[in-house]
This record gives sequence, C-alpha cells and structure tokens, in this order.
Amino acid sequence: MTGKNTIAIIIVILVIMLVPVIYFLNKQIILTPGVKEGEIALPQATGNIDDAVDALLKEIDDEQSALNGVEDEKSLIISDSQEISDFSQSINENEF
Amino acid sequence: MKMNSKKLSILAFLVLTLIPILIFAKNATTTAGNVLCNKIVEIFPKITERFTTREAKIIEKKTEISQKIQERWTEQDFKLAEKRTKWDENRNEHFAKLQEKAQTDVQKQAVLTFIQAVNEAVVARRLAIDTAITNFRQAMEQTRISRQTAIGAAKNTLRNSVSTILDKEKNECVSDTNAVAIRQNLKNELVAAKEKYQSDYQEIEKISTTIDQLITIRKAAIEKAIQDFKVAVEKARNDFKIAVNPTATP
Repeated sequence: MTGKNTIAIIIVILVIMLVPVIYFLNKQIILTPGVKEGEIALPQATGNIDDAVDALLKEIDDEQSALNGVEDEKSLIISDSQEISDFSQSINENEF
Repeated sequence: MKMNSKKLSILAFLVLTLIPILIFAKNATTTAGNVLCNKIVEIFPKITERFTTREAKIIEKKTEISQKIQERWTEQDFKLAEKRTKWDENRNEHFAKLQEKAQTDVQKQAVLTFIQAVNEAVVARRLAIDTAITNFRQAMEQTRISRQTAIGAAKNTLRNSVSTILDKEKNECVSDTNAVAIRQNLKNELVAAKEKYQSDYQEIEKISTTIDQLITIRKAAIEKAIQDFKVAVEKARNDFKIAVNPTATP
C-alpha cells in the first residue's frame, strides 16, 4: 500500500514537472525560431513545385496581415467628434 | 361750480399720483435694460474666451490625429517592406531548389518559365496593392481636409452669429425699454445659433459613410490583386506540370 502511494506521488510529481516542459517545447515548435508571434513561418524550399506554390500562397496571407486594421483609421479620423460637438457649449443662453 | 371743483381735485389727485408711478415704471424698465446691457458686455468676452479654449482643444486633437495617421502609415509601409524582403528571399530559395532539381533541358526551361511567370505575377500584385493603398490614403487625406474645412466654417458661422446677436441686442437694450422681450429674443437667437451649429456638425459627420466607401474600394482592389495573383500562380504551376510531363493531367 505504501509502495503504491509512493509510486502515485512520483507520477504526480513527474506530471507536474513535465507539463511546463511540454508546453514550452510545444510553443517552440509552433513559433519556430526567428518567427514572431502572429507571423507566418517561412516554408522550407524542397524543389517541389507544389511546395513552391504553397509558399507563394502563404506569402499573400502574410502580406495581407500587414494590410489589416484599416477600419481603425476611420475611428482615428473622427476621434475629435466630441471636441467639435462641444464647441457650441461655449454659449449658455441662460447666463443672460 | 362746486361739482367742477370736485372733478378738478380728483383729476389733480390722479395726475399727482400717477406721474411718480409712471416715472418709477420708466426708471424700472430702463434699469432692467441697463442690467441686460451690462450682462451682454460682461458675458460676451467670456463666450469669446470659451470659444478660444475649445478651439485650442480641437486644434490639439486635430494635430494628434494627423500625427497618429502618419505614424500608422509609416509603420504599415515598414512592415510591408519588411515582409516583402523576407518573402523575396524565401521565393528565391524555392526557385533555386527547383533549378537544382531540374535535370533535363525541358525541366530547366519549365522552371525558368515558372520563375518568370511568378515574378511577373508578384510585381503585378504588389503594384496593384500599392496603388490601392496610395489611392486610399490620398482619398482619406482629402476627406480629412474637407472635414476640417467644413468644421472651420461651422465654427466661424457660430462665432459670427453670436457676435452679431449680442451686438444687435446690446444696441436694442440701450434704446428699447422692453428688457424682458429683448432678453427672451436674445436667448432664442442664441439657441437657434447653437442648433444651426449642431445641424452643420451632423452634416459633417456624414463623412463616416464616405470613409466606409473608401475602405470598401480599397478592400476590393486588394482582393482583386490577390485573386489575379492566385490565378496567375495556378496557371504557372499547370504550365510547369504540363511542360515536364505532357501526358499527365495537371
């Protein structure tokens, strides 16, 4: 019974130790060295025409990611709306 | 005779009683008029000061917006250029590997044709995207400037209206005795001027629709560039496969 408990404790400790290691390794694989988060990893050249074409399609996706967020420019341009609207608050007819 | 004397006494009493009342009433109205005149003289500079303060806030915000847009565009250009350089290198690696693997003259020629077709497609895609970006930015800049001009005009209209209203009512309160009516008129005119400004402002804010249209045009142009590129690349792949293996179905 004591032996079984010891084994169970050892397994639990191993699991606790392995979880962060697996998580770290997994993250390394996803990101690939030199690739920033959110970026598309550069595909390895193989000499295969289909791989070359796939790389071209990934190139478009990556380029498109730099072109996103144009809606924010609209919000930015009209972000002075409150100040403009408040201009007429300079007048208080009840002061007279 | 006695009767006439009584009437005269009553008349004299009435005249003597009413004259001070009338004089007092006249003075009272004149005083009310003076109070209003003084109010106008006192408040007019305050309104001008508030206009200036709010104007400064608008200018500050306008400058901030302009800077942020320029920063955003610069950053976007930098990221795009960075990505393009990175992918140029990667594409050349793929081309090199294809050339390395090509053994026969037919295969070598097929690779060269593929490379040329892809390079042309890349140039066309980038040109189309760059044009879409430039057109969008120019249109956005024009829209922004038009908006600022319209805002400036609306502000000037309000300032001038207030100035005209206060000048007019100031003159009236000196000459006219009906201070209550003048005050009410003054308030009504000021409210109308404010409402006119708000109406102008609402009209200016319809710019949102224009910007939405510009965004749609930009997106459509970029989407077309990408679709054209995909078609060109697919054709290049098929041509390559047919060239190296004429009997195979691509």
